[in-house]
Amino acid sequence: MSVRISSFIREAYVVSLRDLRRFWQNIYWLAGQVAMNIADLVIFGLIFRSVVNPQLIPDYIRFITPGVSCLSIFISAFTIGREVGVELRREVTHYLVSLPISRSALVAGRILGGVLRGFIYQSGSIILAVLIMGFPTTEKWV
Amino acid sequence: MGSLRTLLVIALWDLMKLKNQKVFIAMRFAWFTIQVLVFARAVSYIVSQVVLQYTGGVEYYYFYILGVYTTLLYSTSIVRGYMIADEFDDGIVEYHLSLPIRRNLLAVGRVLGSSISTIKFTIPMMLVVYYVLGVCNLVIVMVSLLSAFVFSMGIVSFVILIVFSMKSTDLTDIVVGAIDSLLVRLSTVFYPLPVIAASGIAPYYVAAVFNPISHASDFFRILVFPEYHLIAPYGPVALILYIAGFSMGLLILAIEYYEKRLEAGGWR
Repeated sequence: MSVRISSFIREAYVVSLRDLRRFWQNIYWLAGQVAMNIADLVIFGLIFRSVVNPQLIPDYIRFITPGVSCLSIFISAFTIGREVGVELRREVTHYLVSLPISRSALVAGRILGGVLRGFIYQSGSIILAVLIMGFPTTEKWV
Repeated sequence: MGSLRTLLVIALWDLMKLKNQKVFIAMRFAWFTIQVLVFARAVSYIVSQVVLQYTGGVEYYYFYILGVYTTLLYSTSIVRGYMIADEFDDGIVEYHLSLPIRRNLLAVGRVLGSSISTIKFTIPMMLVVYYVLGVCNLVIVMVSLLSAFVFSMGIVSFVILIVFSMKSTDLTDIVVGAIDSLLVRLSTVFYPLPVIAASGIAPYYVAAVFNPISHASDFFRILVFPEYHLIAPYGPVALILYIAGFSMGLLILAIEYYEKRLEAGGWR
């Protein structure tokens, strides 16, 4: 039983490592997405701040920063789905399912890879949010 | 086969694809309606009344939903043009190039077909916006449709040029995605030009002034709210001429590319 579990973990780990390596190959896409998040913050934040009702939202930059961070979580989660879609079209999936690993390990590995990629992508956004709004406390952040 | 018939056949090819996207169109329509009726209301609620001086007295909600419609028109045109990248992947572009059809007709037919598909796709959304705005003047609706079609032709030609220049699904994906998001942000779809000017970011202001999406959205606004003309940098004739010039210029470039530079194969 323990052999099966360790084998499952090792297979999932190998699959997730593959996804992590591929993550860095899409560096331009990644750079584009990060630039877009920053552009959202700068463009929407600075422009919209002058027209937002200050009685409702006193500081629009502080208001929108967590929103942009949430958007980047969504985008980072989406990248792995986009990649699986491309692999389906190019029939790379046939190769993947023919490998001597269980399908559950393949799925778990892809999910783990996607989570790790999301974490790496998201960390930049969170650092930016901390720079703008300071460290979050247990009571509030915004 | 006569030239007109050839154009019709090619355009029908693009229109046929819409038949397989009924569920997608229904979902997009539902999402758009929610965006106009719920999200746009929420956004306009947090905007202060100060904005009225920047919109020529047009309520921000009305300003915003015409911007959202322009964004939809633009994004749909991008998607229709981008579909040619999928065709490259499947070898359909090679098949098209081998047909006994003149290349300039093929280029015009593809652009026309994609633009007509875009208009057909976005008509229900346009009607929702005009219903909310209370527009019942048929001339305004027809002029809007025609200008939307001309604008769409320019965007489709632009994407076709990118797809054929890149000849790579991944690269096209990145470039088109970046352009899609960036051009919308650097335009007047969500905030009027005087607000952008007041922000003091000069490059952003210049980008917004020359951005064709700004021209399209401002043209739709002037059609429905003539008083918006007071804050738009140009009059409606100048705006539509700019859109027509933009579209015709890119269409000519797309035809030129099809005729003189496009070769089969080499897709990465």
